[in-house]
Amino acid sequence: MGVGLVPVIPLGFAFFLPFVAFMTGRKRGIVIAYSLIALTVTFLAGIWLFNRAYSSSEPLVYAFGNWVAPIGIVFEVDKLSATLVLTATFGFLLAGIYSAKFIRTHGLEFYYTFLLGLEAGTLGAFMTGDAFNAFVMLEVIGASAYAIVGFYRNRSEAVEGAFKYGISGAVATSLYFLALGFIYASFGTLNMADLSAKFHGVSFPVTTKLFGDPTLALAIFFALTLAMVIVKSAIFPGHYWLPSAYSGAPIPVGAILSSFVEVVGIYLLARYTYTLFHGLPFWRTLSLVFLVLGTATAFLGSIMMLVQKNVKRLIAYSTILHMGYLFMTLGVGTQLALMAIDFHIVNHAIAKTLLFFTVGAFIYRRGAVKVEDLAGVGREMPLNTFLFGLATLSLVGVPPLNVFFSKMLIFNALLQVSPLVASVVIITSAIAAWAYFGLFITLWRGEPVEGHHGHEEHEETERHEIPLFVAINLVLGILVVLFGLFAPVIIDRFFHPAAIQAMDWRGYVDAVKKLAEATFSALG
Amino acid sequence: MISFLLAYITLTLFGMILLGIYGVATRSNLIKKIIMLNVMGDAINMLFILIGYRLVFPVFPPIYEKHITFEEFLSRAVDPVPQALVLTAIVIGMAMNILLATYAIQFYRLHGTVDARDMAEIMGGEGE
Repeated sequence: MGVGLVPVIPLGFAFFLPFVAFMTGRKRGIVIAYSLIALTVTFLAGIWLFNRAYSSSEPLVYAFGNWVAPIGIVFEVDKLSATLVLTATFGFLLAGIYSAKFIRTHGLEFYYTFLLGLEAGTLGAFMTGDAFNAFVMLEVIGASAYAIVGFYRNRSEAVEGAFKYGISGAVATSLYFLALGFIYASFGTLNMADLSAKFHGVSFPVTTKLFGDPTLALAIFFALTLAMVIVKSAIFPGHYWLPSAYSGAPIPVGAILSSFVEVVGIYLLARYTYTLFHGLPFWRTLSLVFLVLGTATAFLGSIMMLVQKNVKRLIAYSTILHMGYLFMTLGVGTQLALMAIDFHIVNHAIAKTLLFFTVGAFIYRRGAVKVEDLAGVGREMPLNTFLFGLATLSLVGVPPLNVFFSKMLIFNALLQVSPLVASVVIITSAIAAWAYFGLFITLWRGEPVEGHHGHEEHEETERHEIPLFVAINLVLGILVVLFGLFAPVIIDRFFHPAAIQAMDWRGYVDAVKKLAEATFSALG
Repeated sequence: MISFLLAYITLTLFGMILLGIYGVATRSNLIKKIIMLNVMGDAINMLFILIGYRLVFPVFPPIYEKHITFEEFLSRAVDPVPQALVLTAIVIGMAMNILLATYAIQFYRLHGTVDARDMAEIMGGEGE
């Protein structure tokens, strides 16, 4: 079994899902069973990939159709990719199980088709070794995400959010395509290993020459790629679409978008700046852009959290806050920073998914999204409220929980730049803590507003805790605690080797080069 | 003359890209936004095809034949890679158009308008 098959599994299942659903009379049970099998198989494949990446000393390479780089498209999976792929497959599996209960409207087969498509795109983007393939994967993510955000197509906020997200995302990915044009014109290749070899002056088979001024081409490439990431990952000037999209999207989709889809842009930038083009001539400028925009995003996200009346929008701004941290840390440029980014992505995914799912249980129970309508719901579901509290404490960064350790790594990385920049993490965390505290107090102590449900789609069938949601949230809650308690071991065992390998451009190039040279010498 | 034309076309295409971004940002009609997105996308596609173009005469198709030397082939054949990339981008662009147009139509069905200002007004009561 080839490494590159991992994203093909959800894609293949997604393709046949509508046909299976139509042939079996669109029964809920069959659609859910089929989708959960697909998600479980992908999760098992993710574990398998993780084991292979960690048992191999160099990145795994898979050439599609045996067309090796730079002629064909390759997937190149190192330990950094493997950690993200494993987390993503796990998150998508949980979201799939959660959706089986949460989504009550018709068209469940299309919902799961988009969810599987989104998973295929996300995994593909994390695994790809080709800059153009990254563009294709961004569009796979985009098409599925715009469709699934507007899943409740009779609600105006869903349609508005999906349109905003769609048009901003389409412009952003077009700019990335233009960036690829510049880099192709200068480097004559779009394979990541080949680009890195050209940049560092290492010879690579087939493509040889550079055209024009590669530094200028790289500068334009990074400018346009930054523009793409700013929109796609919701960094300060390009964050405007995110609250609308999240308040329209179903809760499990919000969790997925926040945990993995936003991160794809950050991951690509980390791959370009830390692995491929490490030691850029204009790194100082780029680093300044990362730090300034990241700081602005963190402040914007945390301050806007304070004034939100819609609980979904509050979580949306919390996502913006964490994307700001990641973007800031990109600007440091050391191995510690890369490790902090990787660990924070994983921890943020776990804690934010827990936050989304607990809040989703409240919304499911009350059928409302305004904070004032949810007042007092916490007392009806104490276990869920406890887990909600755990998620907020973790995201704020309270010591024994997981996000504390990744925030500490981010803080240490930022200290390498300046204590002033590092203090941003503490200040914005404190502001966010205040916002979470206000929400928690309202949910637990607030007096319920009478006679304010009925216009949403959920009927009040369940009393108190909802067993499936509690089970999923307990799993996530245990992970939050475990990742916190064993953080030093986990960092040492998994994230430190990942950062070392991802900073090693020579190893990244050699893995592909060896395969290419072997193939071309066999051809003669 | 040829190089002047090439420069003229390139500059026009860059102008079209900027115009497209400006249009997406400022037009309030959702359909016009989608049209401007296409103006931008097509300009980028044209620019991409120009990258593969060779400013020589005669130009060969990118199929290697025995009676041409390899060096001559390299300098005179059109680069087929950008065309393949553009083909992919066109297909993706079509999918995006369909999705965005669907949402514009759906918003019209719900509220009888395709104006972004009306959209903001309708959403204003619920958002923030």
